[in-house]
Amino acid sequence: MATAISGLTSLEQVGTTYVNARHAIRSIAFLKANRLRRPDLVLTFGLPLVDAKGAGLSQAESYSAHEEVYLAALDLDDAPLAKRCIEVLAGRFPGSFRVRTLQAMAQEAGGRFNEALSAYNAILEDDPANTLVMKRRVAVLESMGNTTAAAQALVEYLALYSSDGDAWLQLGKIYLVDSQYRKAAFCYEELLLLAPTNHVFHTKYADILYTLGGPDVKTARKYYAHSLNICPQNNARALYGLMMCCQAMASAGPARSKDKDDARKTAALLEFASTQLEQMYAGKASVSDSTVLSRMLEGLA
Amino acid sequence: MQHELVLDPAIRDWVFLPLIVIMFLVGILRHNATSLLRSDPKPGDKEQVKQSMALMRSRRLRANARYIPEEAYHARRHYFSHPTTGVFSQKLEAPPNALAMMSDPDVMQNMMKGNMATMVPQVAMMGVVNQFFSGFVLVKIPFPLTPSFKSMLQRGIPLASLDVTYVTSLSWYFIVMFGMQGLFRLVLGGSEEDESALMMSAGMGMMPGMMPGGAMPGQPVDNKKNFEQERENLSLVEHKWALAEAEDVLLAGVKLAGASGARRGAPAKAKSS
Repeated sequence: MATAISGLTSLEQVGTTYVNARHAIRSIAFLKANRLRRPDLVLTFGLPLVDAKGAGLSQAESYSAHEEVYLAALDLDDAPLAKRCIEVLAGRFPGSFRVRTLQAMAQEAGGRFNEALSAYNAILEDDPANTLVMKRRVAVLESMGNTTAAAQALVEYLALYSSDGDAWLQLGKIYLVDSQYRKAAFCYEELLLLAPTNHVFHTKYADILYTLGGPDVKTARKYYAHSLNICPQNNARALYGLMMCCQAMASAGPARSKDKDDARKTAALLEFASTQLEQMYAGKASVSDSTVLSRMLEGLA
Repeated sequence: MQHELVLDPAIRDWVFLPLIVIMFLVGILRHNATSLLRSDPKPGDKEQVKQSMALMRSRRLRANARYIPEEAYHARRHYFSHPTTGVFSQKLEAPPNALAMMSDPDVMQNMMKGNMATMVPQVAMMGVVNQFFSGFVLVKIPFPLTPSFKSMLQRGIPLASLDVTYVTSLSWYFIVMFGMQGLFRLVLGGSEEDESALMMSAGMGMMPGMMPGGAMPGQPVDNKKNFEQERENLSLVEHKWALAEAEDVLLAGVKLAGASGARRGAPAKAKSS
């Protein structure tokens, strides 16, 4: 759909020079639709549009060009340009939530986090379901280093918009940094529900379960195995994880692996993982790396 | 053959041109009045979003439950359908139905405003045209027409003998009114700008929460019924963990691959494991 709007399909077609207003509009739309954060390119295309004061553009196009250039200017720390753009927008849309959000982003870019935060909170009071502002608030709190508050704000956001996978991912990251593995596991469970075919989420979830230890190691092994089932090629992380799990289960002693069948399975998985890893590195790694690997595998097996 | 009617040049100068100018100015005035009258759209309703997202999440849970461990599944199910504290067990206010919406002063007011902005100038203009410019022929169309156009082109002058190609002022008013829309779009930037202004003041360019259920923002959904149904659906789901045999599948896959060549890129050695 994104390409249908702009009519451009690749960055090469966008180019790096300003051709005409039409092309510039389409290029900016392309960058935005594909979430390519290229403020340099946005400025290349957007600056002439802003300088032309909307000549040859519809008003909607002109204002959205101003908005994009404004964001790019913030990215590139070009305060005068940002000011020029936001003045146009604020003059046309006084009191608009979107413009207020943009203004608060300037404070954020300038490092005035407390001001930005209170601005965001003020907007949320008027428009409590504003996704953009809720997410910006999380970003500010994280920039301030207040991960606890950031996590809380994210939880608030996710209580509303629970199908935002990126937000779950971010919350999971925050919890991992905070060593709150149970909570992080919950986030990754949500991600598994959102995208059950993504092997990375399975692997990451297994990592967390392995870290939790105890009976969860057995579950972790299943998730590593499933990750390998989904993505059998170049999935070294899952292979290493599988080995670690088997190792942990084997070293837990005969009390835990009293089930003979299970012990046999553990051994089989260990062998499988180590042969796979050896094969994966064969011919690719240098000799010294290979010896490191084989020594490590020996240690694990 | 009828006599050619001679149209007084004064009609052109004092009726034809003023009429067009007046209509153009009234059109611009109306455009500005509409944008003044238009109230900002209400911000999204938090509760409404929350409810529809909870429904989506529950549907997702039902569809993909087999990928999460059993305890995780039960924790979520408990969250949704616990008899007293579950999300789907909470008391919901009955959604306002269409009738109640009509009695909502806000909604009514908005509708009135919209109608007023178009109706009032229309009626006023027609009155003005009728008052000042009625009773004479304004223009002559330079091509012949069938008599059936008479009622369309000669409103206000029911004269049977008048040729169809002569147009009365009231009819000319209507023709110009419809013809002007293109001009307004050109001059005033068209409806495109209106939409973006609406979006700007709403502050939500892309709103993920507004899509579920296909419900338009602002249009209430009967979540009470949906909640009950979803709770029932959830109670029917039996959790079956897809990963219970994951290791066996992996090892079996290796054996299979070993036997049938190098699928999975597994080494032949692994066969012996």
